[in-house]
Amino acid sequence: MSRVDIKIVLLGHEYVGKTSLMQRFVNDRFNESLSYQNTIGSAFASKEMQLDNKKLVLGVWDTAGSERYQAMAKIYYRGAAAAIVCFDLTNPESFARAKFWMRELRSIEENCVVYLCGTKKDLIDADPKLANPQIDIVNRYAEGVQCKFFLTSSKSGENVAEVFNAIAKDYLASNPTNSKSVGNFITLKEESKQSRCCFV
Amino acid sequence: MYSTLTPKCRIVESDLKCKSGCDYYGNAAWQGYCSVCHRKKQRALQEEREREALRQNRDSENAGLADQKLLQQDKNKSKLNAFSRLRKLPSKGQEQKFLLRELYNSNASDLDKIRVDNQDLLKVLDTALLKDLQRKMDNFLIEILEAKDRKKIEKLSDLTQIFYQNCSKSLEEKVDQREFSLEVKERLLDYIEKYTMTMLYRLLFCPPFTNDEENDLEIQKRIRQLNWVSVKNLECKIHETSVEVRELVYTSMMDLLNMDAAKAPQEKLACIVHCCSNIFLLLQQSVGGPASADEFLPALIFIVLKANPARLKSNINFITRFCNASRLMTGESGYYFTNLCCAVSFIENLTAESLNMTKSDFNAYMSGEGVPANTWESALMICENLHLICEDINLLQELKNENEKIFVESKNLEIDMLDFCNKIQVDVIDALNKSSLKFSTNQKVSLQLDGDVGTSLRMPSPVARKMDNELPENHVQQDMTEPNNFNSTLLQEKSPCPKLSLSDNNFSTKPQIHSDSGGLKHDDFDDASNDLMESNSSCNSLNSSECTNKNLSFSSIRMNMISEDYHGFSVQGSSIPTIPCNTGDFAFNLNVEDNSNK
Repeated sequence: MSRVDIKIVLLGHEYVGKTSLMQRFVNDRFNESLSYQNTIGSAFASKEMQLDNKKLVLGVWDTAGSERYQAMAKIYYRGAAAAIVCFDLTNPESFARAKFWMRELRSIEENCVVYLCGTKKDLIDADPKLANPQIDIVNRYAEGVQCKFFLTSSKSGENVAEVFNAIAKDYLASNPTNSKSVGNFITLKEESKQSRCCFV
Repeated sequence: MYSTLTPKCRIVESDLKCKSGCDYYGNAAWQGYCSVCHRKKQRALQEEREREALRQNRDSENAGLADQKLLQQDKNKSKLNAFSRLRKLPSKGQEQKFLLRELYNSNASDLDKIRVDNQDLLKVLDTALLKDLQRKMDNFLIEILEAKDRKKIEKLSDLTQIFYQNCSKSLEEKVDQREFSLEVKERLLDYIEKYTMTMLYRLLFCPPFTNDEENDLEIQKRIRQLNWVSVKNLECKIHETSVEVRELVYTSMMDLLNMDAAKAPQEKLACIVHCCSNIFLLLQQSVGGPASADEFLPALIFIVLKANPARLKSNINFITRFCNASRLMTGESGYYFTNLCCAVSFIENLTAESLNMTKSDFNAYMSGEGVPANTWESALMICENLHLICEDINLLQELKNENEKIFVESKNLEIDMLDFCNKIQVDVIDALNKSSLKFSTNQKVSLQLDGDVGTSLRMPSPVARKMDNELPENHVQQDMTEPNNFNSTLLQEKSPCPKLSLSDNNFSTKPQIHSDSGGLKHDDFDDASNDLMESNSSCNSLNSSECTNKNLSFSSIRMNMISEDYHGFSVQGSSIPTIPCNTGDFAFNLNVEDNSNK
């Protein structure tokens, strides 16, 4: 039985490396498409994490980055506990898109914790001039919208696990022993009693 | 609010019928109307009430306090009504129970299947827990049955989700008490969901008070309009020419179409998951590596467009409303389901831009005026033929290989056989050399056998021997004389017949006697004589010369017949002609006599 505790949605422009990020996190590999055949698809992945003696199963949802499917993104991040908004550190257009996603998520899915993730860090490490937008601009923006910002490289694996660790930690911190769902349950139970009292 | 029916002690058949007399059964919950009439009535009432309320509102501006009092009274009344409803409860409960039983019965086979599938799980658990679960499920079912008449699908959905959470919570407690593992809990939840939803499927799937059906037809029509959309339009990377990919395309379509047949939401989800995993498989073959969401979604849209599943919207709505949202919607099945929803929403909102084509082209294709050159169908047709040719070539190649194999093997067999033959010959010669003496004695025996045959050839055949023997013939002749005598006596008996009336009865009786007396051996003879007699009778009216001719011819025929039929008994056969000749003579004589008498 595939039980999943947290739904994490990956959002971002085309070719920013959402799938690679997920691949790196779940299978710890990068772009080895031809060498492995055991995974047939990589649009959805679940991974168990151990944090403070607690088991958490993360379900990572990849989304299609193409602009024509943008309108449907709402359906994807409905009910998500966290969203990772990715952008290419060398591509200003993707950063603009990321900003758009941030706004949309904040306005529509309030319970969703958003994480900003600049990908392809290895490219900037190799040549800092490629960085566009500048990293301090992004940092300032992240501070402004109050979200965590990570610089990741799926190629080297740098910071990838950290992103997901942070998500899991934040989730546990905000929901100590899933108190939220328990609270929900009590109120709902009362409701059910109310609906029954006039019949039974 | 509720019209108060005076409680009745006894219920007669006519009381159960709808009050409006539409011949359907009504029930107390619907004030004695059937569901349809009740709904009509209710709607009329509602409208009236609304009108009333509007008027009252206007009036209340004038006299607020007085009205408030009235309202209070109204409220009290409604409370009273609630009590009266309570009093009526037994019958109401019975009605729900009746419905429940009906549901049980109509879904018995499916429920049994679910139970059998989960037998290993249910066996492990103690009966108290199962009883508790069953009670919970029954309560829930009754709750739904009660709520369904309020015709609010959201309410039903909420009730279901609450029920799921309730169950999950109580089972979680059990897990905390270490009564069973987490896995068992998950499976139990699964079981509960499957069980209840299969029961309620008829009621909750595409209910008439929602516009699911219209949406179904709408999307179906839309998809039909979009049948020209090709792989290229969607920029999806399906390798249409590959045989394996095409097979997978068809299997995934089938999976999607199967969704409508499944009842429980998670069964429907399972169909979607199957479909999607097939899509991933075919994408893997087309792309040459694991596919990502960027490739997956267009492919799924393509599959949905080509499959055009029945009642797509109803199915999606059913899953969204009645699937255990917290459990299934976050997992893999939830992901695929979300993708399907996306695909549907994409199809609904599809424009020329989303297919990267001009508006005029798009409109032309949508209205059916133009057909794009490279549609899936045309590609399919070419592919189909190519595919067939390929398969035929493969088949021929296989047959050729088989043939060659058989040829080689038959060659081998021939060689083997020759070897075997040689070996046997050598063995025989060896054996002969080793034990020539023994063989010679054997040969003597065989020689004797040969001699026997030789002598037997020289001897007369068994038939010939019989021929030589005189005795049987005498016997036969002696036998033959008896019927002869009989015949004469019979004929003598018969002689008065023509004089009388020549009725058929007389003639029909005679052969019987004849055959009885004559015995089996003389069947042919009997027949012949019968014929003879009949001819005689017919001859009676004719002139004598004709009769004689006939008699003669009959005797000759009879002779032929006998000689033909009695091949083995040539002796007997040769003796027979003498007898009928006599009878013929007799008959002839008699006929002559008859004629003369006449």
